[in-house]
Amino acid sequence: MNAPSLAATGLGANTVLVLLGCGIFGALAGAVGTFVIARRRSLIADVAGHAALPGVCLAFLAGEALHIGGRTPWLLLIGAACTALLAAWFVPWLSRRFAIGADGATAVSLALFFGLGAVLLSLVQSHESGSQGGLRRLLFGSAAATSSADVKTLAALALVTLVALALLFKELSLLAFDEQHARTLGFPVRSLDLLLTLLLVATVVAGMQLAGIVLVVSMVITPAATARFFHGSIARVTAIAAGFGAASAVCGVLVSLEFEHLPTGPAMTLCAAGLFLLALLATTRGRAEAVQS
Amino acid sequence: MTAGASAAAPLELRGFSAGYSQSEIKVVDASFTLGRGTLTALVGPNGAGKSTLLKGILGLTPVHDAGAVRFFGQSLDAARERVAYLPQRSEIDWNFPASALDVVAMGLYRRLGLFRRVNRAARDEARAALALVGLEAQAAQPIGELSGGQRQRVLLARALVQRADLLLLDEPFANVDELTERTIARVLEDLRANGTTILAVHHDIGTVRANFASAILFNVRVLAHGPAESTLTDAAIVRAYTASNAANLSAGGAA
Repeated sequence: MNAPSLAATGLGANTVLVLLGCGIFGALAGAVGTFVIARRRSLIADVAGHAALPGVCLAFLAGEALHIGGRTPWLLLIGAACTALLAAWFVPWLSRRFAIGADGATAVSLALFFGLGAVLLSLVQSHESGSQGGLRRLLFGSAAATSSADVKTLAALALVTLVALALLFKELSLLAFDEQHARTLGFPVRSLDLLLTLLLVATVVAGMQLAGIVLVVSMVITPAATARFFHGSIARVTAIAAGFGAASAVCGVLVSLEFEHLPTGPAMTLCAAGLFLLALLATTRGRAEAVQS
Repeated sequence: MTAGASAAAPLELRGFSAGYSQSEIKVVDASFTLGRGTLTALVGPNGAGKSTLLKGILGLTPVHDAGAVRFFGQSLDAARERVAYLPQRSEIDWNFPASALDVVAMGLYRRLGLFRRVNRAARDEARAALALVGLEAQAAQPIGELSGGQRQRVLLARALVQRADLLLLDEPFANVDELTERTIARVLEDLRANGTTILAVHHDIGTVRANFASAILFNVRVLAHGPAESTLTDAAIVRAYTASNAANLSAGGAA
């Protein structure tokens, strides 16, 4: 139904590319999310996603200082990945080391990393090229401002991550279901845990330009949470999560392209949350009917 | 090295200690040897450290004296394929999206190897193990929909597919229905008769003799080990169940 009006915007081939990239990112986010939720790492994932902001800003400032340009894409990706990884390590460390509980550690870390990011972002904005490059768009994402070169890079990163996930699907399932069993079988639990974190960070980095740093992790968690309403094998639930992720991402992009001032991230996550609510309603209604019959 | 016979024992502990931190040692100086084809209950009061002992043996506790345990005369890493563990049912997240078959197939993951997918042969093997515990019809069912007893049998089937020579089971008979209890007892007895060595934590002192030939009476340390009949005397049980852990610890210091 959106197709005619989209054609009218004249985005054409680039739009198709952006939609494709978004679909791949959404599928990856949903699939990774299944394991993040099962391993109870949703909140740590959220901190890691927000923690990409200081990394991006630091990378921008470093790029400017080194005269290679603040908007160098690979530099921004590496910066984001570094601070996201740091946060993913910092939260559990904090909660182990000090008696503030996992929730306290999460909240403190979120404030720390995102606060630092916001301060750095204002510094970046004072740079002429920073405000021109629209680094602020990174907060909520913008499919319209994503070049086809960017999309190709992001889609490649997402595809590689998806393949890594598929290759180690069995091992990650084992880790998520029963860590002790994984250890008694002799699997390298710490390495697998680190790998899951790396997959998450790669997903965050791949999606931050489209979905935005603030909400990128919602695309990891929400479709996977929706898929939990469906039962069956791990493979089935992961595939459903990937499907919901891709559908939400594509719908979000279509909606955000339709309304000029609507950022892509909120549109995507609203689509994902809408699917979640639908599944929730269907489930509670199904239960009510089951009770009545 | 020790003499041949004892070096090849499926499980041998010599002064083994384990716990969750250096200040919280729950297993002190445990020594015992399990022979091939034996079915032994690990009996003791709540908080005696029975589960910690099992986990410690498998290297799952933060503090454990790995050097004091030998499996078939070898270290755990060398003998890993011959050892299987069944955790307490309550330690598992049963809301995890998986079918009974998925969970049982996990017991085969090590043998399948890295990157390999669960193939038809593995699924057939998992299905056969489910049939052994009477759950063939539940293979495709989500684990969240299974009853407590069925979940326990799924975990047993997962241990069965590992085709281990030594089974360490944490409370396999806890809160299960009668059918499950009979099924598990039958499976364990069949395994034992075929030469498998089994050590199972068992908290219900009243049913030990019915299901186990031998018993280890345990409260922080090994208090007695032998045939269930002669080991679980009233006097020994009272001693194990009334002695406080702290008293045992200090008594052990003098021993």
